[in-house]
Amino acid sequence: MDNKQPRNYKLDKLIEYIGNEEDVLKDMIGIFLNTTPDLIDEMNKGLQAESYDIIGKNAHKLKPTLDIFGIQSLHEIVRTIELLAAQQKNMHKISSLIEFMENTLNTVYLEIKEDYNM
Amino acid sequence: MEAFRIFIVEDDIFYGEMLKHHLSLNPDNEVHLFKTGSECLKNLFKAPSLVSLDYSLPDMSGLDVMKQIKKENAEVPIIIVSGQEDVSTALALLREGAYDYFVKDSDVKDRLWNIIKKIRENIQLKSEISYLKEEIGKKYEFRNVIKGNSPAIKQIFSLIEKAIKTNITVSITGETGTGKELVAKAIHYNSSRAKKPFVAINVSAIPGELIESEMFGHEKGSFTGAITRKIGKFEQAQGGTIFLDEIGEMDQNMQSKLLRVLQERELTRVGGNDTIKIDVRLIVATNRNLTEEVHKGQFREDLYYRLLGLPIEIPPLRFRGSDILLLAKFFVDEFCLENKMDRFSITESAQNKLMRYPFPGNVRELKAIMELATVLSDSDQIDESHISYNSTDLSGNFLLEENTLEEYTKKIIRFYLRKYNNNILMVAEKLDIGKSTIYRMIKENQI
Repeated sequence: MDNKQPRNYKLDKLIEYIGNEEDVLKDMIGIFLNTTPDLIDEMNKGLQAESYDIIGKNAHKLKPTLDIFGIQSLHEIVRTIELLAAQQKNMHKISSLIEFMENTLNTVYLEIKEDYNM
Repeated sequence: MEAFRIFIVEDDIFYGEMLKHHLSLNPDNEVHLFKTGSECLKNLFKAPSLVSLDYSLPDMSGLDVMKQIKKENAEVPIIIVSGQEDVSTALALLREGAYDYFVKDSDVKDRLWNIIKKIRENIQLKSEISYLKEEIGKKYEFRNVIKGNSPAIKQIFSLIEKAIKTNITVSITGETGTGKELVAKAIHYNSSRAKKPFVAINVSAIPGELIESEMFGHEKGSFTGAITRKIGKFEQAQGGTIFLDEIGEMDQNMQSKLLRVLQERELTRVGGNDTIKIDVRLIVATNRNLTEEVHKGQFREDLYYRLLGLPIEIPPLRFRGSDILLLAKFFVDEFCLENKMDRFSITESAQNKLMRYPFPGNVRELKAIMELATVLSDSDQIDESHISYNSTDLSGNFLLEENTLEEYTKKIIRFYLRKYNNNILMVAEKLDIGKSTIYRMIKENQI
């Protein structure tokens, strides 16, 4: 993998957990690529239904994955979403945060796919 | 060591897979991943060594899953992993019996490793303990330990069998070296209490002022030097057996305290207020004649009757006939095995010499004599010359030798001559015989 430009993700922590075996690493990346969009979809559904509950639950589930993939720019964002959802306020702000998160993640997907030929 | 089976219950597929990969890095770990609580519960028959449980599962709460697991197997450690820090939930879970609680953050990895390490050590220790207990049990399978074919010892076997079946107090009497503690252990390790502790106290070996705290424990600060709380031997033996050796040496004050504990089946630590229920089987031993002590007023009569229970009197070795030879052979073989030596045989003359000796130190003395003989012998035989007695107490045995009266007379005179440094006048006076008799015997080389 040659990093031509700074990436939005960092796999150090993941490697720390699972070791540096490429097969395993690709497995985990595969799961990430498969499951994360679903969580974002769920959150968008929550937005439409104006359900703080659904949004909070999925933000909560997303949190460790984002941490493990070292997506620094989303570290605070996902926590803010969870907090606001728990406080049941500011759907508007939540909506823009989710949008930012989705965009960032889409970039991350592309970066990872490129880096790992997936 | 058998595989360490870890259940991960986690609905976050990514996180679950990651933990699984992570824990599988150690080939000793066998990791199973479940996405729901019910899936985990269905697989409990696989007997996990550790369960890592996500607190918020789609089908049921982590707490409910934990309760179900605990119902099946209360021993299995459960770690709750949660996405968020919530002290009150954590506390509630720990109170319900969770082994640990942590948040899915960066140091989960290290904490999991540490916990697994600790649990594995714990499991290993437990299995070592149960193995050792089993070994001890085998060691005290009483027909293997207490050897003999004499009617006297067979009588002991039948009494031990009776003692094993119930919780009756057993009082063992016997001369020194007859194996009182061995009998006590044989009873304990063959009884239903075998898996609980056997605790022995030698009453005569503990200074009078310490014995109460030794037996019943003490609270911190109850007397000078009591810097911490101490659990007494009775409490240590909880569920098991306590063996009080040399009970005849117990002073009167302690006797009444012991009596109270035995009557109430509960005790109070020295300086403490709480009463503690105790469930111990009592075995006592003495080489003193307790009946006599009772008559002399040295031993409380009420305690005496309470302790008497099933009396087992171990016969002295000299009354056990050919058991002496059987045991002699056994000790020689055992010694050779322990020291990786070839087997020895015992010559007939050596056997005769053994059979003539009274063994005031009983089996313990025989063991020492045979071990010494094995060392002294240069061949593969133990003969008369290798058997040496150190004991000076020849009374009692003397008559067992079945000599003629003439031989007895010579022996007695020889003994006294040695004792009084060949002072013939003194010996004549002591034995009330004429000194000329002694002179004549010496002259005729009879002595």
